[in-house]
Amino acid sequence: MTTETKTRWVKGFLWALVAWPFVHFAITRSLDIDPWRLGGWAMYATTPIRVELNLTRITPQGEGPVERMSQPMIEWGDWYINNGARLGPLYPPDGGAAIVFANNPGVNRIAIYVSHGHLTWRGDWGYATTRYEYIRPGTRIRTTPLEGDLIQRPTEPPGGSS
Amino acid sequence: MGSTPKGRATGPGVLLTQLLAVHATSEMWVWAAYGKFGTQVGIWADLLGLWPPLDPRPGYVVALALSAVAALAFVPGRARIAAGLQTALMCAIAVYFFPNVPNHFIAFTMGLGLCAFCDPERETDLLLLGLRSVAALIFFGAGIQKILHGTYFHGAIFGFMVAEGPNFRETLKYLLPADEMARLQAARGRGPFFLSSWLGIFAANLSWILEILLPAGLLIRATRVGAAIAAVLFVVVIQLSAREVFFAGFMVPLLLLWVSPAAAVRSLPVVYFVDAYLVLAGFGLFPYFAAI
Repeated sequence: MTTETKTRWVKGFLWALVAWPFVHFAITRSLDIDPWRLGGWAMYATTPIRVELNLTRITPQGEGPVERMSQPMIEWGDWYINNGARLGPLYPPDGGAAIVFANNPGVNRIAIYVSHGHLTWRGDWGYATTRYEYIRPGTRIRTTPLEGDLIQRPTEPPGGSS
Repeated sequence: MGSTPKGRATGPGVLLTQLLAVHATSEMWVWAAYGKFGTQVGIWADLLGLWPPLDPRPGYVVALALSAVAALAFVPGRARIAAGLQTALMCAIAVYFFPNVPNHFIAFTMGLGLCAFCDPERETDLLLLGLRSVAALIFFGAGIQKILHGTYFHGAIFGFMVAEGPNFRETLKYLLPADEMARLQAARGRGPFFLSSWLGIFAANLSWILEILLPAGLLIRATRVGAAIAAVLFVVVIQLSAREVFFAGFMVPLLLLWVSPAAAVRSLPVVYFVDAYLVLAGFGLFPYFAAI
């Protein structure tokens, strides 16, 4: 390859770098991906995405807590919050569902709620939550973005202010 | 500048290639020392049903392999091959950790990729153009992201930094009044994190303005040296506040390329010294003050 051709490639690469932050913002914001990932130079432009997980057992009576949270589930949850969930709904918590069923023989249907929070320009948290429903042995049967998509977190401390 | 056994001066392209190879390797030793290869594995492990913590010892093998390749960069005539091998290894490491791949790791990989694509000995001008432009565009990209996310306009991000962690808090306490610091720390975990202090809001907005203006200043001959020095100072302050020294070790020499290749080369001993310190600190021989 001649130096002239290489120069064209390098310049093309540099122009792609000019465009990438805009594309990166569009992708991460629309798909709830952690803006600190995928090389968009958004570290400290905002906070890393804030992930919260909630697991419920589904019975004919409704949804309630899973009685036994096994150590593998806790370890997987830590990993998922800090890694898999950084990809937003592109990476659903299927691995966690399989672990729940493997460690809770009496549980046949569960829901996992994953909230992705980002800091708004006003300085509070905006949350988008997805509900994933699974049946034994870990088959995902429903994925539901919750109504309103962006759930505002109360800014008052628990119990409210006086 | 350094010299080869034949007495021919080693050019800035080769010297920067060697630095990038050593710099990336240094961080992998720190990652290995902190067990990151076991605790922060990527989605491939979950897809295979292997959830962490995994055995972290392969991290030392990776660091050793990178060290061997970095050593190759110091063999006359082998810098480009070393950069190519290093780029391939860095891509494999990125897959291993995906999506938890830090931005500065991607920047190192891009820099090494350029050193492999352009011959550091024969296409030095093109290589240096690429490297210094990458540094400027990272600056520009960071400023654009701050505008797009909007968290700097009212200082919300500074409020969050004060509330949530030690990074930046030590710096921001000089900008924000004590009562605002106390309010923000009490808001930890829930917010709101907006600022009332005009000085804090001014500093927050100055951040993204500088990140847009300084790269523009680098492009103009009359302002180039001043913009490069200001950009270096800006990076050093931000990185020390964030305790992320490895990124500064990449950015400072590349920004100094805008002054002259000789200025960039003169900064290399400092980066080598900091790298040596961080690796030894990673193994507990010195206090480790940076984020992992």
